[in-house]
Amino acid sequence: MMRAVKRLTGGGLLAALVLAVTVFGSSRETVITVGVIAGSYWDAPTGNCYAVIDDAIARFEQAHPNVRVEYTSGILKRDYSEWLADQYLLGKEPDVFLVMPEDFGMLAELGALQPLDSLLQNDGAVSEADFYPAALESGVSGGVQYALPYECVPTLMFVNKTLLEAEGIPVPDSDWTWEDFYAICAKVTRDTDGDGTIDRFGSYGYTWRDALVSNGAALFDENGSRCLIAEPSSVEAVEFAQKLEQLYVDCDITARSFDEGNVAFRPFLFSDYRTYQPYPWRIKRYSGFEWDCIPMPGGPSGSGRSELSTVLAAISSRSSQQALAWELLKELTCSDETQEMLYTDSHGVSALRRVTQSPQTQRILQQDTPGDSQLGLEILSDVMEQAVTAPHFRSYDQTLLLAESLVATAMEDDHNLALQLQRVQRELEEYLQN
Amino acid sequence: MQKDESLTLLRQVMLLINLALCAFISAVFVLTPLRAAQRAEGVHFLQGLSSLPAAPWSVAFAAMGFAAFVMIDLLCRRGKLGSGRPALWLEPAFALLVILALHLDYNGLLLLAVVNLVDRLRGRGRMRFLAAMTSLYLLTSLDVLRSGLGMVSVSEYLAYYEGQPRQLMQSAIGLLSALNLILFLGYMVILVGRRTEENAAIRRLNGELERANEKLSVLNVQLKNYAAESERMAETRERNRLAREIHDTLGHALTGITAGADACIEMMDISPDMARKQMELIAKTARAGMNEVRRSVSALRPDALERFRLSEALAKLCSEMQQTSHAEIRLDMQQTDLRLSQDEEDAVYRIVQESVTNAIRHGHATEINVCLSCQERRMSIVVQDNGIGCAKIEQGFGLRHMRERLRLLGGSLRVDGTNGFRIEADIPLRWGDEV
Repeated sequence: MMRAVKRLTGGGLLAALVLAVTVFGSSRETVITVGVIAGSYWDAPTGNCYAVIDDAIARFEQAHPNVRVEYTSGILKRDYSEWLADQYLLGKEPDVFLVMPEDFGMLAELGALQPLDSLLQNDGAVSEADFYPAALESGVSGGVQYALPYECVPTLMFVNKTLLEAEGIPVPDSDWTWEDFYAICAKVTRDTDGDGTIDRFGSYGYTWRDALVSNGAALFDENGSRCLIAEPSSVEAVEFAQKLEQLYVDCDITARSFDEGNVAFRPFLFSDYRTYQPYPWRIKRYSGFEWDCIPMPGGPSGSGRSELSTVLAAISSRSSQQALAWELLKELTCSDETQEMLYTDSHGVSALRRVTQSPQTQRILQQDTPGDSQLGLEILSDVMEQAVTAPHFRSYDQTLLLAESLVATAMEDDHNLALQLQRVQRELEEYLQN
Repeated sequence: MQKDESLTLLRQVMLLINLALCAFISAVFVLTPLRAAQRAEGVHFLQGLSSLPAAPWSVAFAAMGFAAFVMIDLLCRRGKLGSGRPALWLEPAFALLVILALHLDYNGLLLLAVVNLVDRLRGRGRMRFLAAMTSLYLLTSLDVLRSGLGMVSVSEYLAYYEGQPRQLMQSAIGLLSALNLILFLGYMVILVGRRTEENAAIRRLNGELERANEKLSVLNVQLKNYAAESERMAETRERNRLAREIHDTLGHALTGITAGADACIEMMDISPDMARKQMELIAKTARAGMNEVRRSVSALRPDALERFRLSEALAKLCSEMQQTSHAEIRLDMQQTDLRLSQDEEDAVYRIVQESVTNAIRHGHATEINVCLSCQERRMSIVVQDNGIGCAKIEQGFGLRHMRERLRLLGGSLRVDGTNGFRIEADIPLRWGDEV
C-alpha cells in the first residue's frame, strides 16, 4: 500500500516536472546562434558588413516566431578561425556559422560539421543543381556535403585597356588562350623611354598555380593523399609559367608599376573588381588608365579557367536545433533575397545560378560599371561555371607553402623541368603521408 | 577474519585509485580545451585531434556516474538494496557511463565493479557475470570503438602539452592504471586462495561426517540385534510369568479342593452334615479359583489384591486356607500399612500363598506360622510349618518361581526342611525412594 502511494507520488511529480518543462520551454523563445565574419573575407572594404546577415536574420525571425537569432559581432577575419575553434573547444559553438575555406577541411575531418546530404535530398525547395558546381564542390569533404556556399569570389584577369590601345592591341576575347596571353605579353614587355631598363610589362602576379588551374591540372588530388605536380598537364602549366617569367628576367615588377599603368595583365579577384570599378574607388586608385576584367586565359589541355574562393556556411554537428539550423542555413545560402544582397551590399558572387543570372543582378552590375565594360552577365556566369575549387584537407595550407617553395626552386633550374617536378612530387607526397 | 580485512583494504585502495584516475582524466578533459581557448591556441589544438572533442561540461556525466557507482556500492553493502541484485547491473551500468564520459580512456572502473560484486554470486551466476564483465572490459578497450564513436583519447589531449609535463601526466595515468590492475589481480588471488581453503575445510568435514555415519550404522545393527534379543527375553519372561500365574491360581485352588475333597471322603460316614459343609467350602474354593483364573487371564493380578489392601488380602487368604485344610494358620504382620509398590505386593502375596500351599500340599502341616516384618527398608517373610519337612529339597515349579520373583525385585530366598519346613524371603523395598 505504502509502496503504491510512493510510486503514485513519484509518477505525479515526474509528470508535473515534464509538464512544467514543456510549458516553460514552449513559452520561451528558442535561440539560434550564428557565427559571422566581420568585414570581407577577401579584404574588400565594405560599408555595413552585417547588412546581408541582419536582413537574412530578420526574414528568418519573421518566418519563425518564437525563434531569436543571435551572433557575436566584431570577429575579424584574422581572428575568426581561432574564435570558432575556441567556441568548439568550450562546447559553445554557434548552430550555424560561416566557414572560411582554410578551416573547412579541418572542421569536416573532425566531424564538427553536420552532413547535409540527406537534408538536401529531402528538402524540396533546394536542389544541388541550383548551385555552380565548383562552389558546391567546395563544401564537400570525403564525398560528403558538409557546407553550402555562401559567397564566392572567382579570379579574373585585369586588363589595362589604355596600355593595350597604345600598343594597338585589341582587348582579348573571353575565350583567349595562353598563346594569345604570351604573345601580347612578349609584345608589350619593352623599354619605352630608352633608358636601358624595361619599364612596361605584359603581366604581374600570374603564377604557375594560375596556369595549373587553367590547364585542368591540380596540385593535389581531392582528399590530399597524392600530389599531382608531375602529371603532364601540370608540367605543361609550370613550363608555361616558367616561359612567361623568362620575359621578365632581371626585371623588378612591383604592384606600384601595375598601379601606375605599366602592366597589361594581372590576376584580379572579382571582389576587388567590384570594389574598384564603381565610381569613387575607380577614380581613387586607377585614375591614370582605363581598365576592365576578362576571364583568365585557357591552357591547351584544360577547360577550367580560374580558382574559386568560397566562404561556406555550415551547421554544427552538435547543434541541438538541427531543423531550425537547416532553415537558417537555407535562408543564408539558398534564398534569393539574401543572395541578391551579395551584389548590392557585398562584393562576392552568389553561388546560386538563378540569382547570378537574373536580370536584376545584370542591372546592378551594369549600374556600377561604366558602359564599355566587357564583364557582362554571360562572362561572369561562364567564369563561375568553369571555375575549379581547391581541395580541402587538414594540412592543405602547410603543404601548399612547401609546394610553392619547392616548385619555385624547380623553376629556377633550367634543365629538365619534368624531372625536377618528379622530385618535388615525391617530396610533397612524403610530407602528405606524415 | 584477517583475510577479510585485507580484502576490504585492497578494495578501498582500489576505490581511491579509481577516484584519483577519473578525477585526473576529467581534469585533463576540462582544463586542456579551456587552456587552449584562453591562449588562443584552439586551431593548433584542434589540428592535433582525430575528431571533435566533447564539450568540457560532458565530464559532469563522469562525476555523476562515479558518485552513483559509489552510492550503489555503499547501499548494497549496508543491505539497503534488498537482495543486492539490482547492484549487479546498476554498478556496471554506472561504470559504463563514467567510461563513456571519459572517452573510453579508462575502463579500470569495471575491475572495481568486479571486485565489489564478485563475492555476491555463486556458481553459474558468477560465471555469467564474469563473462559479461570480461567482454565489456575488452569491448571498452577497443580503439576502434572509440574512433567509431568519434571520441578523442586523453593522449591526444596530452599531446597539446610540452614534453616534460606531458610525460609526467602520461606516466601518472599509466602508473595508476597499472596499480589498479595489480590490486585487482591481488584481490582475485587472495579471494581464490580463501575459496580453496574453504573448500578443503568442507572436504575435511565431509570426510568426518562419513566416518561418523559408518560408526552409526554399525551401532544401528547392534541396536537392532539387541532389540530383537530383548523382545525374545520379554517373550520368555511373559511365558514364565503366565506359567507362574497358572501355578499360583489354579494350583492353589486345586490344592484346596483336593485337600477338602479328601477330608470330605473321610467325614462322609462319620458326619454327613460336616461333609456337606466341607463340600460347600470346596465349591467356594473352586469358584474362587475360577475367578482367579479369569482375572489372571484379563488383568494378571491376584483378585484379593485387587479388592483389598495387602494386609487384608493376606488375612483373607490365610482364613480361607485354614477353613479348607484344617491346618491352623497364624498370620503375624507387625505393620499393616506398608506402602509397597504393586509388583512388591504381588510378590509378597504370591510368596505367602505358595508357601502356605506347599506346607499343606507337601508337608501335611497342621500348624503354619506366617510372619511379615519390615526393618531398614527390607521386608522379610518367614513361613514356618510343623509338617514332615524334607531332607533334600527338590526345586519344584513353585519354589523356582518364588526365587525368580524375588530375583526380579533384588531379593533372596532361603529354605530349610530339617525341622518342619521354613521359608525365609528377604525383599529390599523401594518405597523410601518413591516418597
